Amino acid sequence: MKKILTILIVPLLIHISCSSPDNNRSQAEDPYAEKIDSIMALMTVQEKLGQLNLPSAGDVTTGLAKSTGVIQKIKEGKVGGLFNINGLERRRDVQKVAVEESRLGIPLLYGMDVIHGYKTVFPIPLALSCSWDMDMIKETARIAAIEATADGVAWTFSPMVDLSRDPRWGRIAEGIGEDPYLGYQIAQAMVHGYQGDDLTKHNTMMACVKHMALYGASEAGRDYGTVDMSELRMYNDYFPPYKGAIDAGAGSVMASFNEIDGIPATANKWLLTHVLRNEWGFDGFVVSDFTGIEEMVDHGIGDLQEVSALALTAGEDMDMVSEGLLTTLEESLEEGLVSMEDIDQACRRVLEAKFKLGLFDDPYRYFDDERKENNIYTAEHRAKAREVASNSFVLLKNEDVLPPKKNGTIALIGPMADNKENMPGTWSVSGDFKKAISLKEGIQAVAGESVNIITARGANVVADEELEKRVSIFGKPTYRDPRPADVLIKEAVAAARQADVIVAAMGESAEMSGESSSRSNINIPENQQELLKALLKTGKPVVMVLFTGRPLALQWEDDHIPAILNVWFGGMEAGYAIADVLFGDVNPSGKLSVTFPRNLGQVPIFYNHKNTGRPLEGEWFQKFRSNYLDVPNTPLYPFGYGLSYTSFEYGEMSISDTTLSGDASLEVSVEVTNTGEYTGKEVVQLYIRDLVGSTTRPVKELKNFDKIQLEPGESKTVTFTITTDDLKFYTYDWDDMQKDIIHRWEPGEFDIMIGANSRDVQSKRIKWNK
Amino acid sequence: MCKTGKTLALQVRYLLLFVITAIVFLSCNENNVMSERDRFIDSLMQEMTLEEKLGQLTAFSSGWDVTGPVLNEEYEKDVKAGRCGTLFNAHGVAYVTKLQKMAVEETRLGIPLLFGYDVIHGYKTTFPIPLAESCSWDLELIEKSTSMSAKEAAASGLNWTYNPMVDISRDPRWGRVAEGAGEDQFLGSQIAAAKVRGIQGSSLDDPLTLAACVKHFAAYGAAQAGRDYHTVDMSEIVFKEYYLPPYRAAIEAGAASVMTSFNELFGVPASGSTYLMQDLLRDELGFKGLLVTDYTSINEMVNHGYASDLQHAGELALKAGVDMDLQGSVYLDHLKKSLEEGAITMDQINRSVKRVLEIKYNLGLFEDPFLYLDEDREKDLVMSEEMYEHSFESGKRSIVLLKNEAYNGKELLPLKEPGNIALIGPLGNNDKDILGTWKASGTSSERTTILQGLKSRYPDANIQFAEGCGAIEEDRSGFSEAIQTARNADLVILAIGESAPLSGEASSRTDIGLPGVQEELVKEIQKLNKPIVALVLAGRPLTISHLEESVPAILYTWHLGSRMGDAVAAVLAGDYNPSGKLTMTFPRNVGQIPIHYNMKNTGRPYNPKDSYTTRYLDAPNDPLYPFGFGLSYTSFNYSDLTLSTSSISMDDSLEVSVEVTNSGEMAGEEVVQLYIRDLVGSITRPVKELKGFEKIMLEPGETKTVRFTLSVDDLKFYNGKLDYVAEPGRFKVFIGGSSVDVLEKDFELNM
Repeated sequence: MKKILTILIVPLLIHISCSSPDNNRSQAEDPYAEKIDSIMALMTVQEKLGQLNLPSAGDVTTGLAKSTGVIQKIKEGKVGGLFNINGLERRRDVQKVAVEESRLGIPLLYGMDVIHGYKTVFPIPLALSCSWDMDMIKETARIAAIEATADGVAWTFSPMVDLSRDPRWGRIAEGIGEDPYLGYQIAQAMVHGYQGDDLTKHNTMMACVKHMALYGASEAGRDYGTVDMSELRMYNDYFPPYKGAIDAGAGSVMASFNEIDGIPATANKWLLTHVLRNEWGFDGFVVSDFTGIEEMVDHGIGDLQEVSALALTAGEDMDMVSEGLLTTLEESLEEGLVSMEDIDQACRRVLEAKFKLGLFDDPYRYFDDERKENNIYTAEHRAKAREVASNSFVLLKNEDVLPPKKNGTIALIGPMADNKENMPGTWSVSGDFKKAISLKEGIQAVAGESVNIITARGANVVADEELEKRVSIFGKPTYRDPRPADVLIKEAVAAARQADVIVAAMGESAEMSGESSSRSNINIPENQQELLKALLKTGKPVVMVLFTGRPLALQWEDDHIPAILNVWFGGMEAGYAIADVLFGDVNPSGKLSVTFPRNLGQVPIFYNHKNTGRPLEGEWFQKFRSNYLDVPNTPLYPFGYGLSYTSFEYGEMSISDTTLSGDASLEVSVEVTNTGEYTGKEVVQLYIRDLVGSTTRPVKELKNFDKIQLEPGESKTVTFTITTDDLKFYTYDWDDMQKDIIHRWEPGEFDIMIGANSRDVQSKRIKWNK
Repeated sequence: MCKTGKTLALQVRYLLLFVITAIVFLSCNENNVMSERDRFIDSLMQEMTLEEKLGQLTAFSSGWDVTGPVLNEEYEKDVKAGRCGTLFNAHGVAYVTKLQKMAVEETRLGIPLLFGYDVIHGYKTTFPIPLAESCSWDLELIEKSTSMSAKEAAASGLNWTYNPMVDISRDPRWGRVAEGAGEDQFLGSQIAAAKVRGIQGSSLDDPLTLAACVKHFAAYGAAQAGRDYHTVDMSEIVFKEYYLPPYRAAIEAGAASVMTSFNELFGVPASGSTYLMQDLLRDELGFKGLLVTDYTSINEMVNHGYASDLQHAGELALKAGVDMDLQGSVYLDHLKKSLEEGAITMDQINRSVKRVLEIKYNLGLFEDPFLYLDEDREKDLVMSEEMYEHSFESGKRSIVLLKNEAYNGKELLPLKEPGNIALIGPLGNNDKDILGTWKASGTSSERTTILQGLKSRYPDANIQFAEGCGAIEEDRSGFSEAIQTARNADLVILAIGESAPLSGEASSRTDIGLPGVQEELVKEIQKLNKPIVALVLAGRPLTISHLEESVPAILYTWHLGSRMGDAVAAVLAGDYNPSGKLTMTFPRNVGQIPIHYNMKNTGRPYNPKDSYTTRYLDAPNDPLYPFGFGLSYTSFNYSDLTLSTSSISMDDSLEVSVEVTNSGEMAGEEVVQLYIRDLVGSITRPVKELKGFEKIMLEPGETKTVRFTLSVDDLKFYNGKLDYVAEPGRFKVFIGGSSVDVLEKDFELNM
């Protein structure tokens, strides 16, 4: 503390005696400006570059290099932050080194991949997005922040809001699905949850929205692949979720691995400065992804020195792991590749983040043994995780099988039947998977003594042992059953024969999705499908509890299995939550945030596609229409789709007007009635279609939604207000002959649609004049 | 035929115009021909009413009924009223003559009709589908094919073909890959230019040539999810670098017309895109010819959501610079009103009318509307021996040998003494599907099936045939006969793959494996443990990993046209040593799509030792067969890759040479391919770019030195500002027999 106090005093003197380059900034705009000026006045170039350096402490690595000699570098002032350092004690000790043993004593910023919860792991983000419940999503981020900050981590590399239309891409599991509007809302909820209303509080943490930008559009769904699209598509479809996070005040942004218009995001000035800062008004700092700077050598835009200079001048402030900024910028400064202003600006942004988090007031603010003891993995947090999980599951099919009665015999079969390590899902590095609740434990607890459960594995996750090893990361065991497939199936069938109902817990293992886990085949693994066939042959009702981190191609399963409950990866309390839903203690209410294709050949397939000039009318093939010879155009399960144990009836929608003009607003309402036997929640969805545009518009765009709860027999009227803001889109102004993208609404006809999913909607046409 | 009389009739009508222009021409000493044409057209246009002008912008299709060609009564009225200046799908001298007479003799101004037709890979005599022929990498052959088909079509009264189709595509789901030249823009550009030269010859008014029409402008081959007519989206930089070059090459080769595509690009349907049709096509590419829509694509802008109604659609198209409305009748029905309302100008109409009249003029139709109408010529040329001979020639050269492994110590192919052969598969004795998609008037009487080809090549062999199953049907009832037939043979030849309608327009597939139950049939036959040669007939790359893993010999034979059977037999027998090389990457499975050889390196290129590099969990990154790949019955050895210098400056060029030796036993041809890689760019560059190729013939033991010259132009690309530049730095040069098996060297480009 002594050094920091010195710093805070000395600068005042400096400030009085000399003018800093930034002293024209107003205090209101930047409350830390003066303090930062005074610190920076003391810093050597090397110390400034040190603030831009973010090595990995080495507990967990996700890329090509590890940082070495970290402690020594901290002492030398060559480290601005650290991530992947585990344990409060260690974090405190290392912070002490920074504060007491470096020349200026600037505290470190600790970051971590807190993606869907810290110790209390919530469902994977794609699952969360299917809750369509923004309060709940915000709450998960809030709890994650409470836990992480209690353990010394004040900066999370979340939310990941990469929109994706490609289920091959493993990281779709971490994202928000395919919709820009829903993605925008989720990004906001996450940032609000992490950051709260005051970042300096001991239990709020700084968000880092990632991956800016377009990372989810990787070529052929292969992670880290090339991205290419038009600017129109960027602005209309892929940018909004990032912008949502920025609008919510996200303190930091992570640049993505991919290129955009041929230039890797990490060095893309148009993206990181023009769009992010100038257009969106972002004023935080930008960090690279893991070795993102160094990887630009492989991208082929220069050597380490060149790419580091390009990154800095593009607007990148912090270098995760590459140490390109630390080791090359001095030389680049001498050679004129970068300016001192560039370096100062980046350094200032990093210091500002530390001020925002209150680290200069108290570098040990987030190291509180008592909080660690009382605020992490609490009963309350776990109960929330259970509740959230049960709200994120999507009932894909149910032919009067679910929910079963809480008695009789259940055959619980499949590789996920009695398994803990797969429950938390991908990127849950802080969770202790040994504590996760397996499905078997969940069913035992929820169904109680009167249910007899017989368990059999029935199949390994995949037949190919090598593939399973490839899938497993961080040394997680695969728990393979070495017996031959037919023996496993025989055992499972024997168990199934004794049961009243078969619960088949299968699908993907947790790490078959997530980073670097792209699949070129998105079916249920063949050996598991064989197991399913054998189970179906017993004639007993089969309920498929589907574990997956991505949309799978389930045409065969949909054709043959009477009930499919998609439970994604539900977090630490998954077992309880699944049982809650299976037995009807919680009525499923999740709706898909991403389209499920019939087969991989339909990919990319998404609800908000264009009409084209030759749209198919009707379901089946017509020559000279846009369709396939072998599969309908429609997906298996559309965006917004999900069933309930009860049924909801929509009355006729009413609209306040059919012709509007200018700044008027339109009220759209519909009465929804619970016509079934269970209390349930329904996500009422509002879509619009702009029939004619200066550039073509999608056939549907989600513009609002409301999740309501209805008792049996209860009706509620849901009302949405549409203003011209909802009609706006990014387009070119052809009259102006300028190729600059503008954001505007255009008068004309619109279809207003309301429904329970993107397919089953009712529609009214309105005219909105200038 | 009595040509003179008709010409006279015309000349009466145009006498005055011709006299005037002739006088003007004479008086202006050596003034150019353009001005003669311009004056003629200007004077003609002064005579024309608005309706007649709109008629010139209108094309309608002729139909066929059971008894023969027929023109819809309404269209006949339109033609006679001067409300239709172009007919398509009408062909045959007798019929076309009747229609042309209608236009010349019964309309007020007697303006002759244009007659267009989709002559894509042959008119009546069918040549290999374009994707197949592109695998020959033989530009002379390709030029000859288009020149032959143009000749045959012109002899049947046509004067305009909607060819070449030069859409680059990386998506084998898309059925129209069959009509294109594959995935590479360099090869695609060379082929595009060769086709234009072949179709148009040296002079448009030669009665043995046609006007070419480059299509589909632009980027039609990048349809979303490989579904035909679907949305296209890409960056401008990718568009210009990868998709635009073949169109540009065709235009630079003098293509007389261009067709708009169905898709949108940058949010605007092509037929209404001022950016595409004006800024790019006219201003940047300097195209001066006729711009025609694809079938009803103006109308379709309403469905696209770009136009509020047909009238609006017509205005958008005309303003974008689209001259002719193919089949949509939008210009004819609506532009008058648009003009009255001031939404368009008379200048815009005139500009387009002039282009239509220009192409007619250039084709020689004003001088002689019956120039292309000679029944004797038709009789001599259509389905003539020279046509057939060429179909055979081109067929052989389009086949790609994908695999030829030793079976019992000896390579299966070529088949010298075949003995007892079982020919198995739905396409073995099929005389319809072998013609492929867009076969124009290719008819069933004049071609050979594979069975016929084999029998005629091996008259002494015992060849038994069984279908086994249909191409797409789920019926397995023929399996037992096929198995029995195979059991009795020494060798099984499988004729499997796609029937013709499975590729081509509106024929996209989500599953590009062997259709129907064919793979099951193959597996049944394999149980007999006989040596198997697989002939795969298809209009696209298929996912044939199973064959690659389990069958010793595979010939990819596409749909080869009228002489398919003979071509296949000649290659099987080794009369012709296969020399085709793939122009599209063959994926292992649909999940790898889009996959192409000229991908970027990315920041995390695959490294088997690091899980966090770009990969799939369940499939390798590399394709089943790479771009440029194809085997021969002989083997070629590459050595001594030599660069004339290790560094060049911006105005130098680099000589690259390599020694290629035929190290096998048979004479054979090899396509020597040169690729470069720009190691560092201001934007990222692909891992390989084709920049040269040469097809050479080598006798056994013979060595040839193949030389290429790389100029700075070959190193250029569109940078972030869309300037076309070469950037100093290190480059790699690769030479080899495919995009994968290459020798490499580095050089430096200096400022």
